[in-house]
Amino acid sequence: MSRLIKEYKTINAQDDILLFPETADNLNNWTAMITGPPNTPYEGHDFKLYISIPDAYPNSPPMVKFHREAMPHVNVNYETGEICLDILKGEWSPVYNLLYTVQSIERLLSEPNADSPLNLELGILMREGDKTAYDSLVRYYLQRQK
Amino acid sequence: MAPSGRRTSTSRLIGYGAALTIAIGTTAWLLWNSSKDEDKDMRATNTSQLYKSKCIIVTNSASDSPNIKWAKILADPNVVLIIPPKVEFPQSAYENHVVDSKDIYKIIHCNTMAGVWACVKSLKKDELVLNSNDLGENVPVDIVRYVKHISNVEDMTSVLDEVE
Amino acid sequence: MSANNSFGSMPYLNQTGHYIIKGNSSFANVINGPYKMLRSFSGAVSLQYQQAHDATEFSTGLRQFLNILGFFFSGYAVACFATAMLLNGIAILPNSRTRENPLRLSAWTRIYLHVTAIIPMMVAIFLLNRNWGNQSMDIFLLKMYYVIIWSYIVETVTSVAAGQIPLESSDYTIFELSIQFYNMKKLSNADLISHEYLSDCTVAMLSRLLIHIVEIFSAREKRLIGSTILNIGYLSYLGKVTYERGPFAISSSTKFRQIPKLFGILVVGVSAICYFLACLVRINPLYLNRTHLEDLKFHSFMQNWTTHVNFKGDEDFLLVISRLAMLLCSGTNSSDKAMHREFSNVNIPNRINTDYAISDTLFQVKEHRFDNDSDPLPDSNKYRSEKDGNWFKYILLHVLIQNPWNIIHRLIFRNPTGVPVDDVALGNVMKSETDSDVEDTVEFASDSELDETGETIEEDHIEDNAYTWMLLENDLDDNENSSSEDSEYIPEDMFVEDELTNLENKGESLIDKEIIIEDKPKLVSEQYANNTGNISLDNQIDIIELRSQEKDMGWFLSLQSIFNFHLTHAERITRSKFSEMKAQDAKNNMDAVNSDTDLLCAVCKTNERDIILWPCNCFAMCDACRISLSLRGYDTCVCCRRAVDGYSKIVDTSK
Repeated sequence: MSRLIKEYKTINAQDDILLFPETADNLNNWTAMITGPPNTPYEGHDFKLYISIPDAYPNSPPMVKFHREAMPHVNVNYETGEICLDILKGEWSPVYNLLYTVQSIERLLSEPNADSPLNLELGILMREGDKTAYDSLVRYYLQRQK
Repeated sequence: MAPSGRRTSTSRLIGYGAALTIAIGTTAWLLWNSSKDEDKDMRATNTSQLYKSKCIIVTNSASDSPNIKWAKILADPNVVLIIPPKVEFPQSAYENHVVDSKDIYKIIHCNTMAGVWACVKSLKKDELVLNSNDLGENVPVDIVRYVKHISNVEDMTSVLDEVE
Repeated sequence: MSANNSFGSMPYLNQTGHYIIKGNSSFANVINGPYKMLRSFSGAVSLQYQQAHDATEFSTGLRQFLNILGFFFSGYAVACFATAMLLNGIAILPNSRTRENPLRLSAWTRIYLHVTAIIPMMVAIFLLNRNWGNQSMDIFLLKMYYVIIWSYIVETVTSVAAGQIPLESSDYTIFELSIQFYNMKKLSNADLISHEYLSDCTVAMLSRLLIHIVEIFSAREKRLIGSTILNIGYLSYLGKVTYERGPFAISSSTKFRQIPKLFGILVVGVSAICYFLACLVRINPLYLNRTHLEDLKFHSFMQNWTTHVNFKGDEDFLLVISRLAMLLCSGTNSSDKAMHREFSNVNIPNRINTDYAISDTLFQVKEHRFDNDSDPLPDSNKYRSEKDGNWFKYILLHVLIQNPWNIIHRLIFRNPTGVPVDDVALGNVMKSETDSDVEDTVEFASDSELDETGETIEEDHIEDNAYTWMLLENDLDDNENSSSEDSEYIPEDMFVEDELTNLENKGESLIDKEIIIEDKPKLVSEQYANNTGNISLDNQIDIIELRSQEKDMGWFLSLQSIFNFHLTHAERITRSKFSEMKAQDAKNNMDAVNSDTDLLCAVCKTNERDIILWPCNCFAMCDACRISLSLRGYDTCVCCRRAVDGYSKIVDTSK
């Protein structure tokens, strides 16, 4: 817990990443706002991340989710918002912190990885190399929520 | 001693009976209510089926047809256009292609046919409208798992007019 | 007369002829009295010993015991004891005071002292081999022992004066030598096995000689080579003697001394042969680019054995061979024990250079070639020395097996783009992560300063609740000051459209690039050095593609910020330049900040770092976190994800 408090101290609100605990008296649940990276279909959209910290943190990774049915992305399950990212699973290392985790997820938006799709159709689009379809489909989903 | 004991036993019996009736009554009422709710849901889906969501694969014949009022079709929130490769859908060339800017996102351009089918599967709309002759390709077998109904039509104009 | 008569049976009581100060003054009496008493005591002991020793009715066991007792009263034991005290005094005294050494010797004094040790030593070796078997060996041997002791003293004094640890021969300590000399004295007349004592003694003196020569030329790192040659020569000589005269021609003390060496050589040799055969079997001529060597259990160990053994070159042969043999014997799979295996401690100076702490090699103890080179082309000497150190690995593996392979391979599939990867990027810390971590610490430090100035806060006693609120307030302040440094780590548009279609086409050639990277980081980095001029968008795409194939995207991320910089500034930039710039940035921040917070454990952020992981050298953890992580089954480095073979504690010698 002391590490989490220290981490909280180090987190400054950054230009495009906002990371804060959900309620002030509980550092076990955090939310983060990330903005879509430029030149991606996510540009101009904001996404909310729900982070819950396990007791074993930092020895086990934080659990991070998008809002359900909010994130059309190859490595995100659209229905549940679950994220497939190596560092949130086996590749987690205790030297990572929350900020780095959130930054990695933001990076994931601009660098989708077709090898581990949670969104099968988008994965097919990516593997087919149909970037036009990929982008417009993602845009469709994003616009529809508005 | 004996009568009073009997009295107590009968009153206890009445009490049990009352409790049982109340319990059965409540359960029955709850069940009834829930089935009513289901009915309501059914009705709701039925009504929505009238305006069921559509996924339209635009082919050249439809794109070239001046009769289809695309703007009107796209105004429906549940309609998506998929433009397969080698199909032109210019915004400026035809008057009927001009779509409200807030609806442009509903037009999905694809560069590959695999991409088209992936989009269809992803969207999971109720009805898929296409012209397989124009498309020059068969509909994949597993598409039926992703849409409720496939309208394979020769003339798209007639089907699309129904939307109005 | 009566007094003299009474001394007759006990002559040791008559010490009237011995005195320290002449005359009959009271001062002389005070000094001479105890002196005489001591003399008579030792005389009594030696007389009793002689009488007991000469008596024939003792059993052999008791005789041996008396022999040992005799040793403790001999000049060798006394000299050994005195020298040990003296050397300890020399070695410990300056260290216990300050780090600044009060004792400083000029270069000429040092050389002079060594020469005074070398010349008697050479003379002694010469005379020893010539005069062996003569009758007057007693005094001669004692003189030789004094020569050796002088050698020890010279070595200790000079190296302590230079602030170094004195070189010692772990196979011939002065204590062992004193026993040996004592035995030689006893046996010098009986010529049966004394011959072997002679050779043993000569080797011991030669190894002392080697130490002095190495010290004179200040080439300590070459000592291991000399020691290896000496020891192997001696062992083969002993082998010859055993072959010619049977195993009993060698004295038991020599056997006792040489068996560890022999065993070590045996273990190392057998392991090397096994590994070599395994490599030979693995090489599949059908797949030129896939040798599967990394599937071998010992692959990681063999690749990094120099780091594991952790030698600098100034150790003697026995120490290194036994360390290596112990490593080879302690478990079939060197990665099994991972973070549980402790290696010897690493000593570091009290203050870690802040330059080092904030640079991109934050977690690295060893400096890497490219990071500190302002010149992008590494100078060739460094490579040569590297190869000298790894001669075993290079000769056995890379020259015999892989080099021809790679050459053939390169001839067949000409590989146009040199992949700009060096082993720093490959095996190491995710750079962007490290950087952000550095900033975290920087920011954290500034935060804590803010706390101190604003309101005093007792961190440990404040509930989370109140604490968070307070932090929120602080954060508001910080928002205004927050710098936009991180923009460099946040990816810009790295998504290249063509990438998708190219991916599969290039997949084939990617595999062999991977192999080159994994197996021969040095070779690739050489390529890199030659190709730094050609970094272009093509290379960038290669990187992206490579990344999608790599299990570990860490090194890609580490390069990404450089490439972003490269693209945005349209300027050629090497890794070293980039890290220089980053280091400068970070240093500017750092100077204003209390530097005590740098070395907090990267995991708990509470304790100081004191663990180095092998073979990656990452220096990021405290021992508590190492224990908890290893109990949770982490077997890779938390920073760079290389498999961990063991760890060392950092011991601060200055405290």
